[in-house]
Amino acid sequence: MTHRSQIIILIWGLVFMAIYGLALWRLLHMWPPPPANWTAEQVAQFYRENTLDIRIGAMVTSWCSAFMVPFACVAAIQLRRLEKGLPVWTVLHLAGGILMSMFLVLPPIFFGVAAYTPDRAPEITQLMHEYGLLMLVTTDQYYIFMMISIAVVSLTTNDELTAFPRWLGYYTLWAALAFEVGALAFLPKSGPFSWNGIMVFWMPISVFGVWVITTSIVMIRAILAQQRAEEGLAAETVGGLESTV
Amino acid sequence: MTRYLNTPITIVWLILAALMALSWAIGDRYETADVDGVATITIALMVLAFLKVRMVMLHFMDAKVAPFALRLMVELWVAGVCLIVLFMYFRPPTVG
Amino acid sequence: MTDSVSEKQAATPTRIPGEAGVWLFVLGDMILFAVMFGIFLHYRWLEPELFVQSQATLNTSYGAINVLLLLTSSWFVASAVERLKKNEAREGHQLLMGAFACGTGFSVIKLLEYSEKIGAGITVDTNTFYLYYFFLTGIHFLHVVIGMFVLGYLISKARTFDVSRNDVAHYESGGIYWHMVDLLWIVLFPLIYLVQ
Repeated sequence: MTHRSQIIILIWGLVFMAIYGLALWRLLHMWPPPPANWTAEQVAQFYRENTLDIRIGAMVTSWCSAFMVPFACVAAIQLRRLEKGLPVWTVLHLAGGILMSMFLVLPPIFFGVAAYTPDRAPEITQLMHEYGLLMLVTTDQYYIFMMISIAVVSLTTNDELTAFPRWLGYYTLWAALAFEVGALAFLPKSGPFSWNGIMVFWMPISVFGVWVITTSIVMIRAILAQQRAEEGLAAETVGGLESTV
Repeated sequence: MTRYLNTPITIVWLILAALMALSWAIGDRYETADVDGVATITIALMVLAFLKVRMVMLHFMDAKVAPFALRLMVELWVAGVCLIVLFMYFRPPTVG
Repeated sequence: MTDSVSEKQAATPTRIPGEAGVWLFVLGDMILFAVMFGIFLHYRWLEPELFVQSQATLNTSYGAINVLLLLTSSWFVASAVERLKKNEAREGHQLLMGAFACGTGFSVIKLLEYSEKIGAGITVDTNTFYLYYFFLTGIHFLHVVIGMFVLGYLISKARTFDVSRNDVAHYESGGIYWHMVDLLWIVLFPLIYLVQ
């Protein structure tokens, strides 16, 4: 039962992630975000033109934007089965993993608010717009705890049925480092380090998407293997009991 | 002391340090160079840099004993990035 | 025919230094830096005079000394790994400390350089060259700092290293990361400080 639940939860998270991505792209029109050096009037114009799309996008993401929560929970469970003694890294991962969800959930709300009253003073709309975008791309603080926990447990434990093989530990370390560049978006208003640039938008969003999908697949396969092992063990025990009877 | 100085690692270090000194010296030549000279110095500096990178990867990181696939990736990075860098140095400038 | 081929292969055995995962990390990071080299060169292509003029205000000596420091630290790390393979834990430990010292030297000079610039009123907002100067060298410096933690961890374990019980591959892996930090500065130095 617990194996099936884990897999269902993971797939649930992945489906919600896909919907979130589609909403960000086709409804919120933030894939990629508009340039960071737009004037307040240009920003206001964008929200006036797209007010319905963006409000629908905010509505859709209100349902699916917390997709990292199920992922973090299943990963924590898988970490728990590897950690000996007190589940220190498990708890750190869980905390980091669910908190990082906040900054995926909040930006679409800000975009929705900006689009809710598109005729207000342009500077106020610009403020909500900046709030949402900077929050989306610069908030990497929780990733560190979430990902390093996985890397540490991956590299310091040895289990045949591990959900976090060593190569995944190293890959996770690289991904964690790659994300940290996002915070730099506070500094320039144009170029590859601004909120629609390669280093701060395209690279992190691709790395994130690929990492979540890869790690989910690896976890699902491990969970299935764990299930088979458990069933195999149960069959042996039953066989053993029968033979002693 | 001589135990340390006789090793292949030390020899690699000496070569790398010498190449670095060479680069620094070449870098100073820009002031007195004409257009062609500038191009030559640029190419020399970057090629030297990537040769040094290759030495670090093959001898310090021990990629010289690595299986073919890994070795290939190492060589591709060195050659590929060097070429891209040189290409970008010599791209014709923007109009205006 | 097949015998001599397999004899040849047996004569030059290959192995992955460290472990495959660390190469995944290192090559991935090197690709990210390659993109950043390209970004720097792109903006240089857009404003060549600005870049040459701003470059002239950089302290080349700092950059060069830092190359030397990292090269030397790599020598220390590579030598340490050799010693550990021969089970000479004490020497390995000392050599790793040497690498750590070089890393500290690099950091001191880097901070000196940054504070000189900032003291002279030069920051990320000054112009495009300086934006990318601070970003590229800053991201590299972050890698150095992370490397110091890696070295610190290896140093703490090195003193009680024993080839029969411990795996030298961990030290190789840490070394491979550190050598990456070295080689990235080998490219960054001419790219940012020298080439015009």
